[in-house]
Amino acid sequence: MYRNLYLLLFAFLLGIDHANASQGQLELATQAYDKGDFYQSVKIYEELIATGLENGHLYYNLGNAYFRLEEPGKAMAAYLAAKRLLPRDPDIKANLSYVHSQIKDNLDYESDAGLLNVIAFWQDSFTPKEIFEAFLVFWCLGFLSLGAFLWKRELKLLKQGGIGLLGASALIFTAFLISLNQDAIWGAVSANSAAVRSGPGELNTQVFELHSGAPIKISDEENDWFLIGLSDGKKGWIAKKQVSSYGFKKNNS
Amino acid sequence: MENLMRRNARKHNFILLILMLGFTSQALGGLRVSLNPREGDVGTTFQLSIQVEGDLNEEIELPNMPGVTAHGPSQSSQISYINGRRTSSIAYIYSLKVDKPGEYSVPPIEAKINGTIERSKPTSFTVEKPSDHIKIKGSKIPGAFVQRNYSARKPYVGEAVLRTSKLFYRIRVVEAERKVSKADHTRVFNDIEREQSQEEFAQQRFSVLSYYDVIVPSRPGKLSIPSDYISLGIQLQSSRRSRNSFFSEFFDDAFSQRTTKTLSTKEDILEVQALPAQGKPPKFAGLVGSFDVKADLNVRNLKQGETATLTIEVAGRGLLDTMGTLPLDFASKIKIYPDKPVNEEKVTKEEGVWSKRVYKYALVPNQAGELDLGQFELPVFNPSKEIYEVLSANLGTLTVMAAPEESKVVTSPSIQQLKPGKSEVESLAKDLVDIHRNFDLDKETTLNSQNQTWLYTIAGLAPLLFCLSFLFQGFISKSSTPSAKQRRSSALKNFNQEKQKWEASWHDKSHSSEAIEAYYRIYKDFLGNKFNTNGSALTGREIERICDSLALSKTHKESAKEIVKSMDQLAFSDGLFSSGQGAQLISKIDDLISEIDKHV
Repeated sequence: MYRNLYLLLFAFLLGIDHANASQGQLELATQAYDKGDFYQSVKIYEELIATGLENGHLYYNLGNAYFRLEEPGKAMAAYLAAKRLLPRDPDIKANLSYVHSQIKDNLDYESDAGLLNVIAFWQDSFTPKEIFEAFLVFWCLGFLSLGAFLWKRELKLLKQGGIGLLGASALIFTAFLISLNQDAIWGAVSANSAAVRSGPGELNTQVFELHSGAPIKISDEENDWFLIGLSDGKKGWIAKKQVSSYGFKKNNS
Repeated sequence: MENLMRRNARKHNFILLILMLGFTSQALGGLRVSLNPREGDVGTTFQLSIQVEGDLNEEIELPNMPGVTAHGPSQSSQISYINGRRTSSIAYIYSLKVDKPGEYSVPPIEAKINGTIERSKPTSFTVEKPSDHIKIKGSKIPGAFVQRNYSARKPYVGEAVLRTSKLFYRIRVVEAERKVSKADHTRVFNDIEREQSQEEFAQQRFSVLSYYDVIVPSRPGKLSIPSDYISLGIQLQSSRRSRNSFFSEFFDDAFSQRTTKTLSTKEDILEVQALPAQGKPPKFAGLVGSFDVKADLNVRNLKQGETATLTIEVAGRGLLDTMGTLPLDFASKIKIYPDKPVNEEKVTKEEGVWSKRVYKYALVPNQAGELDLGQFELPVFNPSKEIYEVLSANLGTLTVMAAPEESKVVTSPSIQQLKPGKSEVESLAKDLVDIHRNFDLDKETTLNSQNQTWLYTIAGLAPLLFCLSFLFQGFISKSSTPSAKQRRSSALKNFNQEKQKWEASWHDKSHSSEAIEAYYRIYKDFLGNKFNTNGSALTGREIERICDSLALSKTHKESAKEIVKSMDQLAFSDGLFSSGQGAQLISKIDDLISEIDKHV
């Protein structure tokens, strides 16, 4: 019994120690950035990301460091990852727009407005976590309202309100499931120029060419190749080594 | 002889044993790890090759190697059948890179092959600090080196400084890539193409690769310029190279080896000077460089209300993109409609940054006559002369003829377009917003396993609490509303108790009121507040209204009236009320309440 408690305490302290270490690493990265040692700051940020941290500010700083190293493709990919996690952050929007203005290809980092995109406008403005939190608020208020109705049956508004809130929460939950099951993720071309081919392999026909920083939507992978789409609807296969992206997992597994 | 035969037999047995072991290891599978090269400098790519012989049951995971970045793997596989036995071999090749010099180790790598876990031996590699030169054995003159120069070591704030990084080499360099970090508080222009040339150094002919860029410091003080890293791909000649010059033409590549090496320059410090306070013109707006100003008016004679276009062009060495609007003032004689200025920039190694900014104004004179436009003046700081200069251009005069009253209204479409109004904010697009410094790294903005558990728990708790509340409420209402059977038995008990008390004290008339009160209590036990009696008598109409609101049948309405009447009789008369009558009354009340319960 006591042994288990000690183990739990040990695990808890380890967790705290790990968190402090990560924060310390972050400090070092900031210092390196301030000194102009962008290689070092990139290295630390990448190491922190490799530990599994999913933090929009971290990706944003990584984007700045990459841009200082004159790697607009990697910077673009990092900003796009940051935007996915902090969709309404004005700094991310500003820097993304700035880097976007520097790239050669006239491509957007959002899909063209179609009916589906108009309906799913919230996808670019809210993270799955935020959508789930909104669902939770509606869900809990709905049950609270119905619970209150059990005790005050004469207040019919409680019943109607409760049903309405639960209905709204069901819609939000559907939105949450949609946002969670999105396989495609935005990344960017990191090579100076990259050939996009009709299939996954060097022997396939080149369909178009992209340049460093071009935003691409990765929707599938096969061996060393990514299936990508562009904001203007073009599609093709690009070698993974020519692309920088964060968080793409096939089938969202 | 016998000894010799025995020795030979032992030798054969030993060879057989070795062969058997070889076959066994092939059948069981094997894991081999090799690293190439074992020494290099920062920027060198180290190839880690993991050779798996046999069937791999699980994917190989690289162990954690602090400070090492691994890319890959690329893989190649081979399956062969020897004497009907299938052997497969897969090679996984990872590219390893490090950013700092030091000794790095590759811990043992584990792989499950043919069902058993195989483990490799640990290996290590050494990374040296990048140097600014590459030595050649037996020569004091290096094979390659880098140099960095600046057009000014003590520039002024806003002055364009040409930075030249040169790679000198006399070894066979097949590839060179320069990586440069941007110094803080500077703007860097690196649109200049790199150049290749030949130069003599220490009586040796060197090929030279020159990289140029222009730095513009934005703050006074010591400016630290980070090192340049030039990563080289070098072709090394092998000692096995053919001496025959004819064949060497064809077999050079086959007998040479390619390696990578990184050279780095030292970190430099520039002393950036603030612009002198002495002699600063009053309207100085921070322009630094060597510029010329030109002004031109497209018409000199026009009618009142017509438009003339004034073009002012500022051009020269230095940056002009920070230049705001020009201080034009023609009092109330002329209305000025400015157009968006056009900026042009060129970066060359001869001039550094060369800029041109063209301002256009539509001038609409308000009054007739000879209008003197005066002089346009622009103060700048010239860093080569280290003085402030006031550039000027004479705008000349405008002859305006009076126009008829009706034509004084400005109707020119070009003027309409130039009407000052809300204009789009033009982004100068010169730098990033700074990094985020104060944020909690652990406050993740996405759904992870930790917060997911909490959120899902809360989501699950809500309906659970509702169900519990539902059950609890049902239990409360059930326990607070007794069943008809319970009601009947408790009421009959009360009735008999009260009746006994009442009969025992009947001789005393004063007790009759208590008995009546006791009957009222029984009455209320049954009816509660359903008839809202509160002890007061109800009229027939009131009973009917209550029964209607409860949607009771006609029979029950009658029953309700009868019950109330009986109770009233009981309350207001002194007549005896037998146990049987009481039970009958209670039964009737019970029926009635059951009916009411169905409707409420």
